[in-house]
Amino acid sequence: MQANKHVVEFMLNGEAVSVEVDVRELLLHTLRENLDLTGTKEGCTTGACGACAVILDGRPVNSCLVLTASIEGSELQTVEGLSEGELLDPLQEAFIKFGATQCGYCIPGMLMTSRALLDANPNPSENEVRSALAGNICRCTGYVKIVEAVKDASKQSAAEV
Amino acid sequence: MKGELEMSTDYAVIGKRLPRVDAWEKATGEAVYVSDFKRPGMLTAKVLRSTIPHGRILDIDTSKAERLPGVKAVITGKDGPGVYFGVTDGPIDQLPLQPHKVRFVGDEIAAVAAVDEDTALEALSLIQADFEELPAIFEPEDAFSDDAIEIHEGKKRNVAKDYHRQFGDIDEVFAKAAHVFEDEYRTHYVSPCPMEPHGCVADFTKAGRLTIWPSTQNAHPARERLAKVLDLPVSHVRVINHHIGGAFGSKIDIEPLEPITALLSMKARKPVKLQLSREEYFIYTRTRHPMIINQKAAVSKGGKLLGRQVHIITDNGAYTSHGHRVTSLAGNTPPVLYRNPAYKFDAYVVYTNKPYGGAYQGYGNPQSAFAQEAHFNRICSELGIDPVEFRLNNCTQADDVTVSGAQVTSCELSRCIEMAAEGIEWSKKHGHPVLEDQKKKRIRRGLGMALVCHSASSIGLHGPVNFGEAIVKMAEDGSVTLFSGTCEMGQGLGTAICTVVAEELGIQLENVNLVLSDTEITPPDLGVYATRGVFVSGNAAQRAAKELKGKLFENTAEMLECSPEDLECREGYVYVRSNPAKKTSLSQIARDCFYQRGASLVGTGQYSSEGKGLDPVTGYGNYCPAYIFGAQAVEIEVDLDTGQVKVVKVVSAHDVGCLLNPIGAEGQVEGAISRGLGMALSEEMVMEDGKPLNATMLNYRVPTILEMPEIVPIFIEQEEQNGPFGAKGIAEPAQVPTAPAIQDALYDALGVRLYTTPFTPKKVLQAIERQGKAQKNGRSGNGKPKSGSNGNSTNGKYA
Repeated sequence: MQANKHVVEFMLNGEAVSVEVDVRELLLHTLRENLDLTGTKEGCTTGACGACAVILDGRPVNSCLVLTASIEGSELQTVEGLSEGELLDPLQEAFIKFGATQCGYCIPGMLMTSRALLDANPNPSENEVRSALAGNICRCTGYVKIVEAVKDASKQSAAEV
Repeated sequence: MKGELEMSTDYAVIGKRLPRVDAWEKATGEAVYVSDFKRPGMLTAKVLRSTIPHGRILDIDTSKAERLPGVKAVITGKDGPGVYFGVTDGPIDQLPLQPHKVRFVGDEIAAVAAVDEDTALEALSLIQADFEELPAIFEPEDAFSDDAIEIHEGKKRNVAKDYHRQFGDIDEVFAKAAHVFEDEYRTHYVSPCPMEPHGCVADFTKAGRLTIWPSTQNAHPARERLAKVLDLPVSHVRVINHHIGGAFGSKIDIEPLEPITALLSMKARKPVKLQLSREEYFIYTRTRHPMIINQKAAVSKGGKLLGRQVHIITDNGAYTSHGHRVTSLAGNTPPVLYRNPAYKFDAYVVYTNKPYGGAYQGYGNPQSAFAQEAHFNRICSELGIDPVEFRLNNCTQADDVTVSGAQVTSCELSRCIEMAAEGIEWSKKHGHPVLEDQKKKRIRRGLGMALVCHSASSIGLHGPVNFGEAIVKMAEDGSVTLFSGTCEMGQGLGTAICTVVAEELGIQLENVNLVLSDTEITPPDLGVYATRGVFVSGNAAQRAAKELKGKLFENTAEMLECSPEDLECREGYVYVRSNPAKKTSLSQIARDCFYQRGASLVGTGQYSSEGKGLDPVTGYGNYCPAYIFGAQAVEIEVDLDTGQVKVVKVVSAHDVGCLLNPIGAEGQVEGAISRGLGMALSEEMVMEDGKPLNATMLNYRVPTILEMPEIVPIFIEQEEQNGPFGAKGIAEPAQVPTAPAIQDALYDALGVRLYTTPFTPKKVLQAIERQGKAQKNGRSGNGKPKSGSNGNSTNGKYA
């Protein structure tokens, strides 16, 4: 088994981490099982629902489609890195205010995909918001309040820029 | 807030756009779900399932698996007490693991618990199972025949349960009516598909106590059933709910998953987790039942509904789960919408060798209402009556008692119809399918409408009661904690019942802490189903808060030397009503009670509906304390070349009683419509020889953010006398009328009617083609005979 192990070093939510993983291990499972970061959710494990979305080197990716062994030297952000204590990301504030969370299971993925969008495009149109979130399934909300929240947060982000 | 208000709006918490009580933990990723949950030394479980749809188990050899290092427990159908389980008043036909026979591809036959997933999977591969294959039946019509093989022994024609109900003089009505119409409709397999696949953690300690963390909407009834299935005293089983990543009915009670996890933990004497993958979720958990529904209606010359006959064959799948009750309510719920003097209902719940149905939002209503509303819309077009007019002329009104005994209290259905029609611009756009936009020459617009009635809680799922209890206790800072045995699965019930408590006690929502569903801590509540949370758990919470308020007033009256009747509480204080300057804070009262007076500040409250539900023989009766009514109008655009249906706008009007939280209510409507769109247009479990072929999120197409139309939720508030602060609830209704409204809009756009769900581009194109041929042959656009005077008009073979 040891032959299949691999040590990977990367930046996780601003801190350097080093993990020993099986070469077959998915980033999603490293986060959830190995690092106890369970905010990132497992919804389908086939890259089709977006519940496990994280930001890898500035881009939103489904962590169930990434082998941990492949992210040596990368910068990774998960939902746990979005807030600092009680200081929330404007997206999180907006998701709370607009009632965008119901069961909440898709929300970490929604937040990370939206964060990556706003980082790249601080003032997106509604169509751009919808395109960015097209790979994130929410079964509860019908997406209405999620779109409202991302648009509201983008106004705030744009104002800060 | 949209819609009109007719109720007192001077509430401090009710009706305000306040964030959910659990929003913070969900927006930070801190909320813990079963899938996130670990126990020290926890084992991973995997289940071995039947790969054939029907057969006898000859032998299961687990010896190699048991010898594999790292395997801590292996169980088969021979383990455990062999107690069958199921839902009240239906066939009790399920076992955790099948010892003798398998009835669908997926039937559980063995399970292992091992130190990790790889070991568990390897152990499964070492189990040798030998079957004698039996002929399998996949179509309910084939199963429902005299010479069909019995899937469950002794069940002739594979009927799990049948219903025969008749109210009013049906024969005379149909003999004399000016018009009689008859249609057959079919609905398909859809999946509730919550984002969190089902999972369970069980920990059986050496002291013989089981703690279990399942995905369940009904923790207290789950404990009772689990104790029976495991042959443990109820007091030795503790059920604790974590956050639930969506359920929509699919986690309504126990299924083989929970007892299997418990049996493994009992054998290994270690904590065990069984987490289904998405593929396992799709194939092995419960779906919405497909139904074959025959609708027959007698209508007067002027378009008055005189009588109805409904015949349903429910495709139960391999086991019953909720099939019988789903079918019973499919017969009783949609008809509450209309004044109708005679009604006959016959139904057969039929086993097939396929995945089995269970509870999914609407509980028989989406299937049955699709058939009913589509049927009425066809009658309207045959008789040249506007569907809105037909509904206004025939719909139920407040205080009606229906022919089957439903006792309607509040009902704003007429106004729902009018507001939905107005919101979609019915009078301007209906009947005008050609668009002026030159870019849309190959697009046709259609408008459609359908109604919904749904129960605000239901009597009968767990016997002839509708019970919930709550406890509210005050802390020294004047905040309270609400203990309720109900469940939060995302629908917002926790926020709703905290809102009721906050309003009653005059405190802020954030000063109500919530403890849900831990059978050792919370008082009993039958859980969440039948849109009962606001009504039952909300009533119980309000009564508990009232009792606490009574204690507050008694103590304060002594402190302020006045009468308890003179007091009121708001903004965290108890005031003397006639002299508001005389007041004392809740925290002061609480500290005084605990540390000076030795007085209790705990309130309890109970709610149980009066009445016994439906008569088991006749089906007559009132099965819920209030009914929620709604009307939904849709605008669609259909592409004549591709058959694609794009839903542009949905106007959804509901009489919710009192609107406890507008954000929450809007979210319930918007989400339910998305799931209704899925049923209508894109979601379908495709089966071949009883096995789902598209058990992935990629191929089972739930609506994405790109497919969502503009949604206009409208809430009409008219106090419901039995509800907490006059509220009724709004969880399930909006899904129900979505498919029939779209079906009717397709007729408005194209002049064709589809009789089977979903309305895929292929079916739309075929209907357009059929219509083209029919027009060449000089027949009507429906491709079916016209209604004659008292002649039967039928749609013949379903489209």
